[in-house]
Amino acid sequence: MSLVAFLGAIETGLIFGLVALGVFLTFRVLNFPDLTVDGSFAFGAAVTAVLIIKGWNPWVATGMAIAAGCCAGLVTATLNLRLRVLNLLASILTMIALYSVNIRVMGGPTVPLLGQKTVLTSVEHLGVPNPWIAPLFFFAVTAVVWVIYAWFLHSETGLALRATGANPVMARANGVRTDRLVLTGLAISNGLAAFGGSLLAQLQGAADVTMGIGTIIIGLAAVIGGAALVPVRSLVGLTLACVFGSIVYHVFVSLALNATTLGLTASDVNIVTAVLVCVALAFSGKGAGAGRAKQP
Amino acid sequence: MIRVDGVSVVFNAGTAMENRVLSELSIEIPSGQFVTVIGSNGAGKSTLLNVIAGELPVASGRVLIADEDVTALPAPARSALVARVFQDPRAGTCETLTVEENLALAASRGRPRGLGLALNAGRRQRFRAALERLGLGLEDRLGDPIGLLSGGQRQATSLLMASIEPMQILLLDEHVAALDPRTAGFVLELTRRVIEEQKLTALMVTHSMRHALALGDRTLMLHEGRIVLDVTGEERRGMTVADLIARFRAQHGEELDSDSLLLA
Repeated sequence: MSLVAFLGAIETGLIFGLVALGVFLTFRVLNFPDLTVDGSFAFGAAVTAVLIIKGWNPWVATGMAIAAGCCAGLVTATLNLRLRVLNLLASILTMIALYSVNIRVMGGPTVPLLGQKTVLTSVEHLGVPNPWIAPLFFFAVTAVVWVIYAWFLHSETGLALRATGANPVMARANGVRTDRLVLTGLAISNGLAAFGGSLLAQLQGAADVTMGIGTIIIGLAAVIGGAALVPVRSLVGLTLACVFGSIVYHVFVSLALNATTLGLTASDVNIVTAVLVCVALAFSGKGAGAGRAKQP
Repeated sequence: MIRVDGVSVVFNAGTAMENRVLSELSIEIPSGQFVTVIGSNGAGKSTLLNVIAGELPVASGRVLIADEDVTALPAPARSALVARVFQDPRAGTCETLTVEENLALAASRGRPRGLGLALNAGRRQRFRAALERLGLGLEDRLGDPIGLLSGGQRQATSLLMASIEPMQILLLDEHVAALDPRTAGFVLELTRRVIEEQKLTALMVTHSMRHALALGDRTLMLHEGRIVLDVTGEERRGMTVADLIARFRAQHGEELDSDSLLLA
């Protein structure tokens, strides 16, 4: 594998590290299997691309994408909490709806960003040699997000959120308004997914309505694979493992696709991912639900 | 002071399964009183606790805590007034969180939660000192997930969590029923000590007539959603389980149907 291909895998790995942190929050912390991220990832990309084309500052456009993702999460949470729709079904409904929304937002299935100013062009003048600039930039972004994320999970609100997922009756008895924390958790999770989509669109130079397909599985692969690879069981360790798992996953997939002897093409990514998730699940002994570990 | 004023609770209202669990029940608990509640299965003991905690809506009647009408408030909104220890040690603590995180969660009961760190040196010191007084060696296990503790240790920690912040009433829902007799004795003694030291108002549901008479200042017996016996003061002092059963029979004209009440 060439250096450029390797760095490319690291870049995508870091971007999906953000998605993995979001997926960790819903699947692992809140115990809310949320598939909305497939839609909110592309939603983030769509909002960013359209705003950049309209001449918005790329940073502001990225911020708007995050806000849009948060709103998508709030819709899913509201369907679940107010209309009592089963959590998994609520997230699928939002995800499906977002597919149409994304095409409306972009006015078509794709918006190219070639030659446009992106968050990456704004750091080009810093003098870092070309192949390194993107991986270093995404490393910095993911590191900052991770620090804020880890702080949040250890804050009073973060603790209440963790209790909401693990033991809602006990949380309520201790004055935690569990509904609000489910809303908060889903907003943050989908905000992170949209952030990932926004960055990927700016890196690849296009937003596409299909780019969100399989996001949830890639996120899960990172969360479960990371936890299987990193032995630390502390919360800080587990969240770092999400990002690490995402990078390892993308390097692995890149290797598999680049190895000509395997004869795999880009369209084989999904089955490679599905197999990886199954293998990681089998070895981590967590079973199919990807919910909390159930002791025998 | 706690006032439950003509409260009725009906499950499955308007269906063939309709079940009146509490029937225009009224009690007044003055501040500082420790009330024990007994009754057979389905008598409405846990329902009464859930009504005071705000986990169950009432069909009619009012609940007042410290002169505030809380009937319409959900459980989290009452948490500044009401603290609870559950029957199942796993229900009252959060096993994926550490001992100190569980305590931190309880220490913010009834207060808005912000983005500041949930744990700091001051809080850890406070928790360590509180755990030391349990005499279980838990002060050295602040960072352990609480799931690693035994049932008795978790129940003792639950009691500490419930009493760590001031409240108007402490609700104990058969909180020693899931423990072995020796551990149950320890947790009961701890309960008595905490309630006495902090002069708490408490309502303890129990399956054991013996416990009901051994602890507290007043004993209620519930039967079919009504209070059928309410003893306190001189009358209660020196009362035995046999006296209690005799009183029930005399007042109610029927035999107690629950073996568990007699055997406990």
